Amino acid sequence: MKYVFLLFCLLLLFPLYWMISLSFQDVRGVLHLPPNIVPKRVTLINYERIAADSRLLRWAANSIIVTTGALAISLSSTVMAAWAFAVYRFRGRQLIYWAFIASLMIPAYSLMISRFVLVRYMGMINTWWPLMMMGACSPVAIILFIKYFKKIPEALADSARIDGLSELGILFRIILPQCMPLIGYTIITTYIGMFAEFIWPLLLLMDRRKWTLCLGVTKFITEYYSRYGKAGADVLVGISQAGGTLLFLPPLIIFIAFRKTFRKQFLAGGVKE
Amino acid sequence: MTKRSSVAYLFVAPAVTFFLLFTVAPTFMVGYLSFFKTNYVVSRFVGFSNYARLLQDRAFIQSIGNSLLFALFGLPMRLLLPLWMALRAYAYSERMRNMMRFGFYIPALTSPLVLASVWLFIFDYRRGIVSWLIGLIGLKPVVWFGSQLPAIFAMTLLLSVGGIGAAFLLFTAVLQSVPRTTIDAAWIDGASWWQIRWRVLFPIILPWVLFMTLYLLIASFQIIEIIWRMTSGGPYNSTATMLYNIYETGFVRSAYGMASAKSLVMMLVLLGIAVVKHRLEGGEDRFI
Repeated sequence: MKYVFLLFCLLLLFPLYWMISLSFQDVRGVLHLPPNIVPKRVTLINYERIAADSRLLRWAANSIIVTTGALAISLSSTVMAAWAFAVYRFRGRQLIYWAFIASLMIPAYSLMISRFVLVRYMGMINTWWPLMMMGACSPVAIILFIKYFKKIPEALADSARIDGLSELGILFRIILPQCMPLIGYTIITTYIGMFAEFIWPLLLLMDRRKWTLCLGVTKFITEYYSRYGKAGADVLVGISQAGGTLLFLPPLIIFIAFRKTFRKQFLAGGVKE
Repeated sequence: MTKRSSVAYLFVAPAVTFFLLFTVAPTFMVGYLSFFKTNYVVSRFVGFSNYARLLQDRAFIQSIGNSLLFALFGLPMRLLLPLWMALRAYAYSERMRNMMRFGFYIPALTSPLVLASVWLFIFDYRRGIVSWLIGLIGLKPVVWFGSQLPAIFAMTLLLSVGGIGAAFLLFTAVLQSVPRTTIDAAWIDGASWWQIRWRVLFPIILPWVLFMTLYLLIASFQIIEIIWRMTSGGPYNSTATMLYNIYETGFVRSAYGMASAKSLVMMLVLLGIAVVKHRLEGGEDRFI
């Protein structure tokens, strides 16, 4: 039975493999029946077609800017809020905490329309700002950080306070260096999540030059057919596989770059604390 | 350690600002907007008329059934299968389990949108590998995206590629936290592996199974990206989930008022499910 399970793992990986393998073949290779499981002739023609006709590099750069911006905003606001909840007692503490918890129960996309109308009202349509700010307050991340902060010995912050470090200095210079595993985990999940984000860029960004990679490549594929009609249909198969492969690259790169963190995470049983 | 300090307000200010702006304000705005009729430029107060018209909106009513179909098809693939595998894998060696986890991790990491292209080709009527395989055993190929049930089935399979892995990872994590002594006690009492699996482990994991069921249900109403990419809700709205219907109302037809009324209905329905799900997670002591 074990080996059936391992085979099943391979079966789940097959579509991914097949997408990548098809993306390196020309029209004849792609449409060949019986299918070539291993490409007979490797070509970059599909990637060349995408690169020639679109703003691939621009979109990739946009994605990196948007994601990094979102990360900077969300990480700093999350860390500060969690520190306040973990260490200080202040008026409204309970109220804010319960509001955060209660908001977890609101289905995320039921706010799609009203958020859009609000963003339009604020004049931020066709800018990256709403994309960067929308996920900035994540109650789940705040709770994770509160739990982590509570495990750090109090004496650490206290001794720094006696040495005359400011409250902000204590958080950023003393406490945060202790939290690197959790920060690393947050960075990875935010990056992977933001790169895959499709609906909000679709709704908010009209200007082609501002598109993110995921939106740009997906729109390029869906528009290709309407541009070239039936003649493009066969070529499109290879091109859309190349597009899919390009979208698979960012999470793959992150996975390889941070494989130690991932390893720790699933050896620890995958329970995020 | 708890200190009274006004500096705390400074620390919570950014998070609270974003929270008010992007969660609290839109929540109230959904209700407010739903009382208006919007036509591209003008918007006019119409009271409850959006809600009255919503009850006659055939596409919207149908979207409830479509969403439930996604959940129903997803249940065996994305829940029962990984549950069964996790229960079996409990008896395997550490090495084996880690290999399985690793194998499931990459698909779970991949967004369904990435695989949508290859999925459309695999299930292509004329040139797809599935049609070819069906042809090999001498049956007539299916037009996968030409009618409701095959289309929803194919899309559920796509969602399962990542979903199976995610559920498997969750279930094995829960099982790993069962203390070794519980199992040893059962052994000493003469329980077989089958009994340990179904009489000891299964009751422990049951709340998580219910949790995942509710999660699946909530998620099914909000499937949108792959529908946008693969069927556009067609043919004849038969594969549009509730969220896709809202998207179409709001952004294709620009009827924001109507779309808000629909959003509010969706919010209230899913909120009920979410409250139960939240209880199962153990309130704020959630661990995933």
